[in-house]
Amino acid sequence: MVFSFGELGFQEVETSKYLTDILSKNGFKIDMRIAGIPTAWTAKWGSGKPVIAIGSDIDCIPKASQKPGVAYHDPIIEGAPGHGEGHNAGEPLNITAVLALKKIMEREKIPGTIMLWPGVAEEQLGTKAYYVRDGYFKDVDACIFTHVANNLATSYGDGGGNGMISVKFNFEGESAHAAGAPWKGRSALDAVELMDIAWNFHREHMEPTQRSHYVIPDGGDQPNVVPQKASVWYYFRERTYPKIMQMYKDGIKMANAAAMMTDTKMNYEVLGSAWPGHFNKPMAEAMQKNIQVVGLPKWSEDDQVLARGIQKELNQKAEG
Amino acid sequence: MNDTLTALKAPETSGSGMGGGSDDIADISWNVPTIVLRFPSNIPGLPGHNWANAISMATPIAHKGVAAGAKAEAMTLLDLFTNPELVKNSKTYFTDVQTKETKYTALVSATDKPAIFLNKKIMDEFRPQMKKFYYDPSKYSTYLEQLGIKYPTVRTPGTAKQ
Repeated sequence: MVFSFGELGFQEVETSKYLTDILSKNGFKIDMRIAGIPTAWTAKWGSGKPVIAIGSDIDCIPKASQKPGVAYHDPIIEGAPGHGEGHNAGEPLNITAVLALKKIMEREKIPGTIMLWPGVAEEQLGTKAYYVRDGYFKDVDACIFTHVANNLATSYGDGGGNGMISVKFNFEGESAHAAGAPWKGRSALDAVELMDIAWNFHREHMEPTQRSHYVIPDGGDQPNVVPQKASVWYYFRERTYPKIMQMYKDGIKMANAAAMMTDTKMNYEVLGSAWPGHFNKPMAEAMQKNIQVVGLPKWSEDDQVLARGIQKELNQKAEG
Repeated sequence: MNDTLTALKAPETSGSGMGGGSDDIADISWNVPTIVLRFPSNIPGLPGHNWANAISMATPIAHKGVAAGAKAEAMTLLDLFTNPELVKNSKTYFTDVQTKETKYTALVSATDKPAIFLNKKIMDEFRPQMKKFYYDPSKYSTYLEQLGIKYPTVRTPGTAKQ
Protein backbone atom coordinates (compact mmCIF):
# COMPACT_ATOMS: atom_id res chain seq x y z
CA MET A 1 0.00 0.00 0.00
CA VAL A 2 2.60 2.52 1.17
CA PHE A 3 4.78 1.64 -1.84
CA SER A 4 2.09 2.96 -4.18
CA PHE A 5 1.79 6.28 -2.29
CA GLY A 6 5.45 7.14 -3.05
CA GLU A 7 5.53 10.39 -1.07
CA LEU A 8 8.57 12.64 -0.67
CA GLY A 9 9.77 14.04 2.65
CA PHE A 10 7.30 16.28 4.55
CA GLN A 11 4.55 15.36 2.05
CA GLU A 12 3.70 11.89 3.48
CA VAL A 13 -0.01 12.72 3.77
CA GLU A 14 -1.58 9.49 2.46
CA THR A 15 1.05 7.32 4.13
CA SER A 16 0.54 8.85 7.57
CA LYS A 17 -3.24 8.69 7.23
CA TYR A 18 -3.14 5.02 6.21
CA LEU A 19 -0.78 3.99 9.02
CA THR A 20 -2.50 5.96 11.79
CA ASP A 21 -5.94 4.67 10.71
CA ILE A 22 -4.73 1.10 11.25
CA LEU A 23 -3.23 1.96 14.63
CA SER A 24 -6.29 3.93 15.71
CA LYS A 25 -8.58 1.00 14.84
CA ASN A 26 -6.37 -1.17 17.02
CA GLY A 27 -6.77 1.03 20.08
CA PHE A 28 -3.73 3.28 19.77
CA LYS A 29 -4.08 6.93 20.77
CA ILE A 30 -2.86 9.12 17.91
CA ASP A 31 -1.31 12.57 18.20
CA MET A 32 -1.01 14.23 14.80
CA ARG A 33 1.24 17.08 13.68
CA ILE A 34 3.86 16.61 16.38
CA ALA A 35 6.68 19.19 16.46
CA GLY A 36 4.60 21.33 14.08
CA ILE A 37 5.15 18.86 11.24
CA PRO A 38 1.89 18.10 9.37
CA THR A 39 2.77 14.46 8.54
CA ALA A 40 4.42 13.53 11.86
CA TRP A 41 2.62 11.66 14.65
CA THR A 42 2.89 9.40 17.66
CA ALA A 43 0.63 6.42 18.33
CA LYS A 44 0.53 5.19 21.92
CA TRP A 45 -0.94 2.17 23.63
CA GLY A 46 -0.64 0.78 27.15
CA SER A 47 0.29 2.46 30.39
CA GLY A 48 3.18 3.01 32.73
CA LYS A 49 6.82 2.04 32.42
CA PRO A 50 8.79 1.12 30.47
CA VAL A 51 7.99 3.35 27.51
CA ILE A 52 9.41 1.82 24.35
CA ALA A 53 9.49 3.81 21.09
CA ILE A 54 9.36 2.02 17.75
CA GLY A 55 10.07 3.93 14.54
CA SER A 56 10.89 3.77 10.86
CA ASP A 57 11.14 6.20 7.95
CA ILE A 58 8.24 6.72 5.54
CA ASP A 59 9.48 9.08 2.81
CA CYS A 60 10.73 8.21 -0.68
CA ILE A 61 13.26 9.23 -3.32
CA PRO A 62 12.83 11.72 -6.20
CA LYS A 63 12.58 10.24 -9.72
CA ALA A 64 12.75 6.66 -8.40
CA SER A 65 9.35 5.50 -9.72
CA GLN A 66 9.71 1.84 -10.69
CA LYS A 67 7.48 -1.16 -11.36
CA PRO A 68 8.06 -3.75 -8.65
CA GLY A 69 9.21 -7.20 -9.71
CA VAL A 70 10.74 -5.92 -12.96
CA ALA A 71 14.53 -6.30 -13.22
CA TYR A 72 15.23 -3.27 -15.41
CA HIS A 73 14.34 0.42 -15.37
CA ASP A 74 10.60 0.64 -16.05
CA PRO A 75 8.93 3.48 -14.13
CA ILE A 76 5.26 3.40 -13.16
CA ILE A 77 5.27 7.13 -13.97
CA GLU A 78 8.29 8.67 -15.68
CA GLY A 79 10.04 11.15 -13.41
CA ALA A 80 7.78 10.55 -10.41
CA PRO A 81 9.04 9.86 -6.88
CA GLY A 82 9.30 6.23 -5.77
CA HIS A 83 10.43 4.00 -2.93
CA GLY A 84 14.05 3.69 -4.07
CA GLU A 85 15.18 3.27 -0.50
CA GLY A 86 12.50 0.89 0.66
CA HIS A 87 11.04 3.26 3.26
CA ASN A 88 7.64 1.74 2.45
CA ALA A 89 8.31 -1.41 4.47
CA GLY A 90 9.57 -0.33 7.91
CA GLU A 91 6.35 0.96 9.47
CA PRO A 92 4.30 -1.99 8.20
CA LEU A 93 6.94 -4.21 9.87
CA ASN A 94 6.64 -2.23 13.12
CA ILE A 95 2.85 -2.36 13.08
CA THR A 96 2.91 -6.13 12.47
CA ALA A 97 5.27 -6.57 15.43
CA VAL A 98 3.40 -4.32 17.88
CA LEU A 99 -0.04 -5.75 17.09
CA ALA A 100 1.31 -9.21 17.94
CA LEU A 101 3.04 -7.80 21.02
CA LYS A 102 -0.11 -5.98 22.18
CA LYS A 103 -2.08 -9.25 22.17
CA ILE A 104 0.54 -10.89 24.36
CA MET A 105 0.72 -7.89 26.72
CA GLU A 106 -3.08 -7.90 27.09
CA ARG A 107 -3.27 -11.63 27.67
CA GLU A 108 -0.39 -11.73 30.16
CA LYS A 109 -1.19 -8.32 31.71
CA ILE A 110 2.31 -6.99 31.04
CA PRO A 111 2.65 -3.30 31.97
CA GLY A 112 4.31 -0.71 29.75
CA THR A 113 3.70 1.77 26.94
CA ILE A 114 4.28 1.29 23.22
CA MET A 115 4.91 4.45 21.19
CA LEU A 116 5.08 4.22 17.40
CA TRP A 117 6.45 7.17 15.42
CA PRO A 118 7.49 7.84 11.82
CA GLY A 119 10.75 9.16 10.41
CA VAL A 120 9.31 11.96 8.28
CA ALA A 121 11.63 13.44 5.62
CA GLU A 122 14.61 11.22 6.49
CA GLU A 123 16.05 11.93 3.05
CA GLN A 124 16.28 15.57 4.13
CA LEU A 125 17.37 14.59 7.68
CA GLY A 126 14.51 16.84 8.49
CA THR A 127 12.66 15.88 11.66
CA LYS A 128 14.23 13.69 14.33
CA ALA A 129 16.29 16.47 15.94
CA TYR A 130 13.03 18.45 16.24
CA TYR A 131 11.19 15.52 17.86
CA VAL A 132 13.96 15.43 20.46
CA ARG A 133 14.18 19.21 20.86
CA ASP A 134 10.42 19.46 21.37
CA GLY A 135 10.38 16.75 24.06
CA TYR A 136 8.64 13.81 22.36
CA PHE A 137 11.32 11.36 23.58
CA LYS A 138 11.64 12.79 27.09
CA ASP A 139 9.93 9.88 28.86
CA VAL A 140 11.06 7.13 26.49
CA ASP A 141 13.22 4.36 27.98
CA ALA A 142 14.42 2.69 24.79
CA CYS A 143 13.89 2.86 21.05
CA ILE A 144 13.97 0.26 18.29
CA PHE A 145 14.20 1.59 14.76
CA THR A 146 13.88 -0.50 11.60
CA HIS A 147 15.47 0.05 8.20
CA VAL A 148 15.53 -2.00 5.02
CA ALA A 149 18.77 -3.77 4.04
CA ASN A 150 19.72 -7.08 2.47
CA ASN A 151 20.32 -8.99 5.68
CA LEU A 152 18.72 -9.33 9.11
CA ALA A 153 21.21 -7.57 11.34
CA THR A 154 21.94 -4.97 13.98
CA SER A 155 24.97 -3.20 15.45
CA TYR A 156 26.19 -1.23 18.45
CA GLY A 157 28.62 1.58 19.24
CA ASP A 158 29.93 4.12 16.76
CA GLY A 159 28.53 3.34 13.32
CA GLY A 160 31.44 5.05 11.56
CA GLY A 161 29.27 7.45 9.55
CA ASN A 162 29.12 11.23 9.58
CA GLY A 163 26.73 13.61 11.20
CA MET A 164 25.70 16.64 9.22
CA ILE A 165 23.90 19.92 8.92
CA SER A 166 21.95 20.91 5.81
CA VAL A 167 21.99 24.66 5.11
CA LYS A 168 20.64 26.75 2.25
CA PHE A 169 22.30 30.13 1.60
CA ASN A 170 20.07 32.69 -0.13
CA PHE A 171 21.56 35.71 -1.87
CA GLU A 172 19.70 38.77 -3.07
CA GLY A 173 21.05 41.43 -5.43
CA GLU A 174 19.44 43.64 -8.06
CA SER A 175 18.29 42.63 -11.53
CA ALA A 176 19.16 44.53 -14.69
CA HIS A 177 19.27 43.99 -18.43
CA ALA A 178 22.38 41.82 -18.72
CA ALA A 179 23.38 43.35 -22.08
CA GLY A 180 21.74 46.78 -21.97
CA ALA A 181 22.72 47.95 -18.50
CA PRO A 182 24.65 45.23 -16.65
CA TRP A 183 26.42 47.89 -14.53
CA LYS A 184 23.10 48.58 -12.87
CA GLY A 185 22.75 44.99 -11.68
CA ARG A 186 24.18 43.08 -8.71
CA SER A 187 24.20 39.35 -9.36
CA ALA A 188 23.09 36.93 -6.66
CA LEU A 189 24.43 34.12 -8.85
CA ASP A 190 27.91 35.69 -8.72
CA ALA A 191 27.72 35.39 -4.94
CA VAL A 192 26.74 31.71 -5.19
CA GLU A 193 29.63 30.99 -7.56
CA LEU A 194 32.17 32.84 -5.40
CA MET A 195 31.02 30.99 -2.31
CA ASP A 196 31.34 27.65 -4.12
CA ILE A 197 34.83 28.51 -5.37
CA ALA A 198 35.90 29.47 -1.85
CA TRP A 199 34.50 26.24 -0.42
CA ASN A 200 36.19 24.12 -3.06
CA PHE A 201 39.57 25.75 -2.32
CA HIS A 202 38.91 25.20 1.38
CA ARG A 203 38.56 21.44 0.80
CA GLU A 204 42.35 21.05 0.54
CA HIS A 205 42.67 22.16 4.14
CA MET A 206 39.97 19.98 5.63
CA GLU A 207 40.36 16.60 7.27
CA PRO A 208 39.69 13.57 5.06
CA THR A 209 36.65 12.58 7.15
CA GLN A 210 34.63 15.56 5.90
CA ARG A 211 32.11 15.15 3.12
CA SER A 212 30.45 18.24 1.71
CA HIS A 213 28.37 18.78 -1.39
CA TYR A 214 26.00 21.35 -2.80
CA VAL A 215 23.34 21.98 -5.44
CA ILE A 216 22.08 25.30 -6.80
CA PRO A 217 18.28 25.21 -6.42
CA ASP A 218 17.99 28.73 -7.83
CA GLY A 219 20.56 30.12 -10.26
CA GLY A 220 18.44 32.82 -11.84
CA ASP A 221 15.83 32.80 -14.57
CA GLN A 222 17.49 33.45 -17.93
CA PRO A 223 20.89 34.75 -19.09
CA ASN A 224 19.77 38.20 -20.20
CA VAL A 225 18.50 39.07 -16.72
CA VAL A 226 21.09 39.66 -13.99
CA PRO A 227 19.88 37.22 -11.31
CA GLN A 228 18.31 39.12 -8.48
CA LYS A 229 17.96 35.96 -6.40
CA ALA A 230 20.08 32.83 -6.21
CA SER A 231 20.62 30.12 -3.63
CA VAL A 232 23.01 27.29 -2.92
CA TRP A 233 22.22 24.32 -0.68
CA TYR A 234 25.05 22.62 1.22
CA TYR A 235 25.36 19.43 3.26
CA PHE A 236 28.26 19.74 5.73
CA ARG A 237 29.27 16.31 7.07
CA GLU A 238 31.86 15.31 9.66
CA ARG A 239 32.49 12.70 12.34
CA THR A 240 31.82 14.81 15.45
CA TYR A 241 29.58 17.64 16.60
CA PRO A 242 32.41 20.23 16.99
CA LYS A 243 33.74 19.47 13.50
CA ILE A 244 30.29 19.74 11.93
CA MET A 245 29.73 23.08 13.68
CA GLN A 246 33.12 24.31 12.46
CA MET A 247 32.17 23.50 8.84
CA TYR A 248 28.83 25.25 9.36
CA LYS A 249 30.61 28.38 10.69
CA ASP A 250 33.13 28.29 7.82
CA GLY A 251 30.24 28.08 5.37
CA ILE A 252 28.51 31.11 6.91
CA LYS A 253 31.79 33.04 6.82
CA MET A 254 32.29 32.32 3.11
CA ALA A 255 28.68 33.17 2.31
CA ASN A 256 29.09 36.52 4.09
CA ALA A 257 32.33 37.16 2.23
CA ALA A 258 30.70 36.29 -1.12
CA ALA A 259 27.85 38.70 -0.33
CA MET A 260 30.37 41.40 0.52
CA MET A 261 32.28 40.85 -2.73
CA THR A 262 29.15 41.11 -4.83
CA ASP A 263 27.31 43.76 -2.82
CA THR A 264 24.40 41.41 -2.30
CA LYS A 265 22.48 40.43 0.83
CA MET A 266 22.69 36.95 2.32
CA ASN A 267 20.55 34.92 4.69
CA TYR A 268 20.67 31.21 5.47
CA GLU A 269 18.26 28.56 6.71
CA VAL A 270 18.82 25.15 8.27
CA LEU A 271 16.94 22.45 6.30
CA GLY A 272 18.03 19.40 8.28
CA SER A 273 20.59 17.84 10.58
CA ALA A 274 21.85 14.57 12.00
CA TRP A 275 24.34 13.49 14.64
CA PRO A 276 26.82 10.71 13.89
CA GLY A 277 25.26 7.36 14.88
CA HIS A 278 25.96 5.46 18.10
CA PHE A 279 23.85 2.48 19.11
CA ASN A 280 23.16 0.56 22.31
CA LYS A 281 25.11 -2.57 23.15
CA PRO A 282 22.83 -4.50 25.55
CA MET A 283 19.84 -3.96 23.24
CA ALA A 284 21.85 -5.00 20.18
CA GLU A 285 22.95 -8.18 21.94
CA ALA A 286 19.36 -9.01 22.89
CA MET A 287 18.25 -8.37 19.30
CA GLN A 288 21.08 -10.49 17.89
CA LYS A 289 19.91 -13.50 19.97
CA ASN A 290 16.44 -13.15 18.49
CA ILE A 291 17.84 -12.69 14.98
CA GLN A 292 19.66 -16.02 15.37
CA VAL A 293 16.38 -17.70 16.39
CA VAL A 294 14.37 -16.20 13.50
CA GLY A 295 17.01 -16.68 10.78
CA LEU A 296 16.75 -15.52 7.19
CA PRO A 297 13.73 -16.17 4.98
CA LYS A 298 13.80 -18.98 2.42
CA TRP A 299 14.15 -17.27 -0.95
CA SER A 300 12.26 -18.89 -3.83
CA GLU A 301 13.67 -19.52 -7.29
CA ASP A 302 11.58 -16.54 -8.52
CA ASP A 303 13.17 -14.27 -5.88
CA GLN A 304 16.64 -15.38 -7.00
CA VAL A 305 15.80 -14.83 -10.68
CA LEU A 306 14.72 -11.24 -9.93
CA ALA A 307 17.85 -10.57 -7.85
CA ARG A 308 20.22 -12.05 -10.45
CA GLY A 309 18.35 -10.17 -13.18
CA ILE A 310 18.85 -6.71 -11.68
CA GLN A 311 22.42 -7.46 -10.58
CA LYS A 312 23.22 -8.43 -14.18
CA GLU A 313 21.38 -5.36 -15.51
CA LEU A 314 23.58 -3.08 -13.40
CA ASN A 315 26.76 -5.07 -14.14
CA GLN A 316 27.05 -6.09 -10.52
CA LYS A 317 28.48 -9.45 -9.60
CA ALA A 318 25.80 -11.92 -8.61
CA GLU A 319 25.96 -11.84 -4.83
CA GLY A 320 24.01 -13.12 -1.90
CA MET B 1 19.83 -13.06 -2.05
CA ASN B 2 21.61 -13.56 1.26
CA ASP B 3 21.24 -16.92 2.95
CA THR B 4 23.73 -16.42 5.79
CA LEU B 5 23.28 -14.18 8.82
CA THR B 6 26.11 -11.85 9.79
CA ALA B 7 27.64 -11.57 13.28
CA LEU B 8 26.64 -8.67 15.52
CA LYS B 9 28.45 -5.66 14.09
CA ALA B 10 30.95 -4.19 16.56
CA PRO B 11 31.76 -0.48 16.75
CA GLU B 12 34.21 1.37 14.54
CA THR B 13 37.37 1.61 16.62
CA SER B 14 37.93 5.23 17.52
CA GLY B 15 39.40 7.37 14.80
CA SER B 16 39.43 4.77 12.05
CA GLY B 17 36.02 5.65 10.61
CA MET B 18 36.43 7.66 7.43
CA GLY B 19 32.92 9.02 7.47
CA GLY B 20 30.16 8.62 4.95
CA GLY B 21 26.40 9.02 4.98
CA SER B 22 24.23 10.31 7.79
CA ASP B 23 20.92 9.30 9.36
CA ASP B 24 19.00 11.42 11.83
CA ILE B 25 18.04 8.35 13.90
CA ALA B 26 21.32 9.28 15.59
CA ASP B 27 19.60 12.27 17.22
CA ILE B 28 17.26 9.82 18.93
CA SER B 29 20.15 7.47 19.77
CA TRP B 30 22.03 10.23 21.68
CA ASN B 31 18.94 10.85 23.82
CA VAL B 32 17.46 7.38 24.35
CA PRO B 33 19.11 3.92 24.21
CA THR B 34 18.47 2.96 20.58
CA ILE B 35 19.23 0.23 18.06
CA VAL B 36 18.48 -0.12 14.36
CA LEU B 37 17.19 -3.46 13.13
CA ARG B 38 18.02 -3.93 9.45
CA PHE B 39 15.71 -6.35 7.67
CA PRO B 40 16.27 -8.27 4.44
CA SER B 41 13.71 -6.83 2.00
CA ASN B 42 16.21 -5.68 -0.59
CA ILE B 43 18.62 -7.17 -3.11
CA PRO B 44 22.40 -7.10 -2.46
CA GLY B 45 24.73 -5.05 -4.65
CA LEU B 46 22.39 -2.21 -5.68
CA PRO B 47 23.33 1.50 -5.74
CA GLY B 48 20.89 2.82 -3.10
CA HIS B 49 18.76 5.95 -3.52
CA ASN B 50 17.86 4.58 -6.93
CA TRP B 51 14.95 3.09 -8.87
CA ALA B 52 16.71 -0.29 -8.70
CA ASN B 53 16.23 -0.38 -4.93
CA ALA B 54 12.46 -0.10 -5.44
CA ILE B 55 12.24 -3.29 -7.52
CA SER B 56 11.96 -5.73 -4.62
CA MET B 57 9.93 -3.47 -2.34
CA ALA B 58 6.42 -4.66 -3.29
CA THR B 59 7.28 -8.32 -4.00
CA PRO B 60 7.56 -11.58 -2.04
CA ILE B 61 11.18 -10.60 -1.22
CA ALA B 62 10.05 -7.54 0.73
CA HIS B 63 7.18 -9.46 2.30
CA LYS B 64 9.42 -12.24 3.61
CA GLY B 65 12.02 -9.75 4.83
CA VAL B 66 9.37 -7.80 6.72
CA ALA B 67 7.94 -10.99 8.27
CA ALA B 68 11.39 -12.03 9.54
CA GLY B 69 12.11 -8.53 10.83
CA ALA B 70 8.73 -8.28 12.58
CA LYS B 71 9.40 -11.54 14.43
CA ALA B 72 12.85 -10.43 15.64
CA GLU B 73 11.47 -7.04 16.62
CA ALA B 74 8.42 -8.41 18.49
CA MET B 75 10.65 -10.84 20.40
CA THR B 76 13.07 -8.06 21.41
CA LEU B 77 10.19 -5.77 22.43
CA LEU B 78 8.84 -8.57 24.60
CA ASP B 79 12.33 -8.89 26.15
CA LEU B 80 12.30 -5.16 26.96
CA PHE B 81 8.79 -5.27 28.48
CA THR B 82 9.38 -8.41 30.56
CA ASN B 83 13.04 -8.03 31.56
CA PRO B 84 13.65 -4.85 33.61
CA GLU B 85 17.31 -5.84 33.82
CA LEU B 86 17.67 -5.33 30.04
CA VAL B 87 16.16 -1.84 30.21
CA LYS B 88 18.45 -1.05 33.16
CA ASN B 89 21.58 -2.36 31.41
CA SER B 90 20.72 -0.40 28.28
CA LYS B 91 20.42 2.75 30.35
CA THR B 92 23.74 1.98 32.09
CA TYR B 93 25.53 1.58 28.74
CA PHE B 94 23.94 4.85 27.59
CA THR B 95 25.07 6.85 30.64
CA ASP B 96 28.37 5.14 31.54
CA VAL B 97 29.77 4.35 28.09
CA GLN B 98 28.06 6.18 25.22
CA THR B 99 27.50 9.59 26.83
CA LYS B 100 30.29 9.45 29.42
CA GLU B 101 32.43 11.92 27.51
CA THR B 102 30.31 12.96 24.52
CA LYS B 103 27.26 15.04 25.39
CA TYR B 104 24.49 15.75 22.91
CA THR B 105 23.88 19.29 21.75
CA ALA B 106 21.38 19.63 18.92
CA LEU B 107 22.78 20.88 15.61
CA VAL B 108 19.54 22.77 15.12
CA SER B 109 19.00 25.86 17.26
CA ALA B 110 16.01 26.67 19.47
CA THR B 111 14.59 28.86 16.69
CA ASP B 112 15.21 26.70 13.59
CA LYS B 113 12.00 25.28 12.16
CA PRO B 114 11.31 22.01 10.29
CA ALA B 115 11.51 22.66 6.53
CA ILE B 116 7.95 21.48 5.92
CA PHE B 117 7.72 23.35 2.60
CA LEU B 118 10.24 21.01 0.94
CA ASN B 119 9.03 18.76 -1.90
CA LYS B 120 5.55 20.30 -2.01
CA LYS B 121 5.85 21.43 -5.63
CA ILE B 122 7.08 18.03 -6.85
CA MET B 123 4.26 16.19 -5.08
CA ASP B 124 1.68 18.68 -6.36
CA GLU B 125 2.93 17.91 -9.87
CA PHE B 126 2.95 14.12 -9.62
CA ARG B 127 0.29 13.20 -7.06
CA PRO B 128 -2.70 13.46 -9.45
CA GLN B 129 -1.05 10.94 -11.81
CA MET B 130 0.13 8.71 -8.98
CA LYS B 131 -3.36 8.48 -7.47
CA LYS B 132 -4.43 6.32 -10.42
CA PHE B 133 -1.88 3.74 -9.31
CA TYR B 134 -2.64 3.63 -5.58
CA TYR B 135 -3.02 0.02 -4.51
CA ASP B 136 -6.63 -1.12 -4.25
CA PRO B 137 -6.66 -4.20 -2.00
CA SER B 138 -10.43 -4.56 -2.42
CA LYS B 139 -9.94 -5.51 -6.06
CA TYR B 140 -6.49 -7.11 -6.17
CA SER B 141 -4.72 -9.51 -3.86
CA THR B 142 -1.28 -8.00 -4.62
CA TYR B 143 0.06 -4.79 -6.11
CA LEU B 144 1.88 -6.87 -8.74
CA GLU B 145 -1.51 -8.21 -9.84
CA GLN B 146 -2.97 -4.68 -10.00
CA LEU B 147 -0.12 -3.50 -12.24
CA GLY B 148 -0.35 -6.67 -14.36
CA ILE B 149 3.27 -7.65 -13.67
CA LYS B 150 4.37 -11.25 -13.98
CA TYR B 151 6.77 -12.03 -11.10
CA PRO B 152 9.64 -11.96 -11.81
CA THR B 153 10.03 -10.04 -15.07
CA VAL B 154 13.60 -10.07 -16.40
CA ARG B 155 15.09 -9.13 -19.74
CA THR B 156 14.93 -12.00 -22.18
CA PRO B 157 18.45 -13.08 -23.20
CA GLY B 158 19.74 -11.12 -26.17
CA THR B 159 17.50 -8.08 -25.62
CA ALA B 160 19.53 -4.91 -25.74
CA LYS B 161 19.47 -2.64 -22.74
CA GLN B 162 17.31 0.43 -23.09
